[in-house]
Amino acid sequence: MARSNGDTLAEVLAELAEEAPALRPLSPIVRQRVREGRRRTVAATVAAVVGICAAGAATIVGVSHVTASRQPSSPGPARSWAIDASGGVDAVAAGPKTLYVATGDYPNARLSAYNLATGTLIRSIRVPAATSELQVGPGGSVWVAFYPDQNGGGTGVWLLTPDLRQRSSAGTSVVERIGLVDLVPIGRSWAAVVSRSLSVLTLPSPGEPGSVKLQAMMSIPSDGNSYVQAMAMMNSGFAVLELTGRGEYRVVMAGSQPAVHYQAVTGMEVKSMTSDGTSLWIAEAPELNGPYNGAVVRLNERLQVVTPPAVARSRLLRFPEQIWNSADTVVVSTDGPDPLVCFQTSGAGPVTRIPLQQMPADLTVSGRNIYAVYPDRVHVYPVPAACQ
Amino acid sequence: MTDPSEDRLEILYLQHGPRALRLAYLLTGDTALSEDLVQEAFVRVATRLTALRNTDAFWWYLRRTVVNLANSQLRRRRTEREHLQRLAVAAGVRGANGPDLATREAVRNAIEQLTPRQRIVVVLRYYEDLTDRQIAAVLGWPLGSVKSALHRAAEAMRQSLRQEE
Repeated sequence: MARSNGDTLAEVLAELAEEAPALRPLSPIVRQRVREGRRRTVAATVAAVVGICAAGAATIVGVSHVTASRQPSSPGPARSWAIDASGGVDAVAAGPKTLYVATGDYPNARLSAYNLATGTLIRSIRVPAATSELQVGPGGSVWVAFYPDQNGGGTGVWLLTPDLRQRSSAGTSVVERIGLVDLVPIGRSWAAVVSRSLSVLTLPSPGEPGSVKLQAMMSIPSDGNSYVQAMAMMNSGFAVLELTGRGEYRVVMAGSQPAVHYQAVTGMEVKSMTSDGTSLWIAEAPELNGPYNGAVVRLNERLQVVTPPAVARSRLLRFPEQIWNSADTVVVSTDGPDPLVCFQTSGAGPVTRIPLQQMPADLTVSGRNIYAVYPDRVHVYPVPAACQ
Repeated sequence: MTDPSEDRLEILYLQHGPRALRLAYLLTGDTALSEDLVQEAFVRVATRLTALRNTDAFWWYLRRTVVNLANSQLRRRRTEREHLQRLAVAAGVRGANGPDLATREAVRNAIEQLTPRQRIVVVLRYYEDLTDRQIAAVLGWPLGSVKSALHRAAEAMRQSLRQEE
C-alpha cells in the first residue's frame, strides 16, 4: 500500500473510532462475574494440583499405555544449526542444496543462504525491504519480491543466482502493474505472475544485461468483483485462488474451457494451497473463530473434490493453516493441539504427527526433510516414514 | 468497606475501557455490540489476572481478548457488512468536511469491502499502530500470515479504490 494511502487510512480509522460510544460504567453484573471468576480460578488451581498429584500416582501404578499413545510418532530434530534471524523471519524457501531465509524489516532486511547439508552460511545480502515472496525456481534460481513495511523500504522483484552473488531486477513500475499478488517461477528467468490476469514476467539472467518483459498470458474467470489471492502450477495449467465480491473463496483454472471452479463453503477461508502436479491440496479453515471445523481438501485437475478418506476423516486436520508439498508428502501446519502433521500424497497412509519442540517462525519442506526456522536456529526434522 | 481489588478494577476499567471500546467499535461497527464486547473482555481478563499490577500487560491481554471476541461475534452474527454499511451511511450524513471528502468516503467503502480477517490486521496496523510482529503476537498468527493478510488487504483496497474512480 502506498504510504500516502496508509496515512489516509489511519486518519479515516481514527475518524471512525471517534464515533465509538461513550464508556458505560462498570456494571454490578460485571463486578460479580469477576469476583466469581476469581474464586473459580483459585478452585481450579487447587483441583489441578490435586489432579496432577493423582495422575502422577496413577502413572506410577502402571497406566503407561496412556503415555504411550501420546508418544511422538517420529524422532525430534535430526540436526540443527545456529542462525541469526533475530530481526524476525519473513520467508523461507529451499532449493536442492540451499536453504534461503529472509529476515528483518527495512533498513535491516536480509536474505541469507545456508548449505542444506552442513548448515554453513553461504552468503547473506541486504534486501531493500521486508520480503513478501521468496521462491526457488528451476535451476535453483531465487526469486524475491519485497515491498515497504511500516518502516519504509523499496518495492521490486529480484532474480538471483543460487549463491546470491548475481542478480537482475524489476522495479516499482512493473510491480505496480502486476500487483504482486503471487509469483510462481516457471523457468530460469521467467515466472508466472498473477493479478487480474495471468502474465509472464521475464527478467534478464542474473548479472547480465537485458530488459524486463511483462506479457499477458491468459485471463482468469472472474465475477468482476473478485480479486486474486494466490496461484499454483499444475500439469494442466494454473489454479488461481480468488476471493469473490461476496466474501467467498473460489479456485478457478486460468484459461480453462469450459471454465471449471471449486467454491469453498461460505464462511470458510482457503488459507493455503499447494500443487503436487496432478492435484491441488487446499487448507480450509473458518474465516473467523467460528463453530465450524476446517479441512484439507484435494482437488483434481477438473477441480473436483477427490480427498482421500483418511485425510477427510482425520481429526488432526480440523484446523489447518499452511500446507506444503514435497516429493510424495504433504505437510500441514495446524491451529490445533498437533501443530504439524503430514501424510502421503496418495492418501494411502495415516495422517501422522510431527513432534516439534516449539512452533517455528516459518518452515519449508525439501526432499525428505522439514526445515523449521526459529529466530536463532534451524531444526531439521526427517519426514516420518509413514508420510513417504 | 470497599474491597481494594474492586477499586483497582475500576481504575483499570476507566484507564483501558475507552481505548478498548474504540477498538471494538472499529472491528465490529456496532455500538451495542462493542459495549457488550468490552465488558465481556474485561470480565475475562480481570478474572484471569490474579495480580492486577502491570497495567501494560493488562492492556495487552485486554486488546487480544477484544480482538478474539470480535472475531467470534462476527462469525456468529455475520453482521459486519451491514454494520459497516450503516456506519458509512451515518458518517456520510454527518458529513466530514474538507477537500478530500471523496477520498475518505472511498477509503471507508474500501474498508467495508475487506474480509473480517483483513480488517482486523488493517485496524491493528493503521489504528493501533502495531508492527507486523506485534500483530502476529496479538492474533497468535504466524508472521507470514499477518504479512499476507496485510498485503491482500492492501490489494483489495486498491481494487476497491480503482472501482470507485
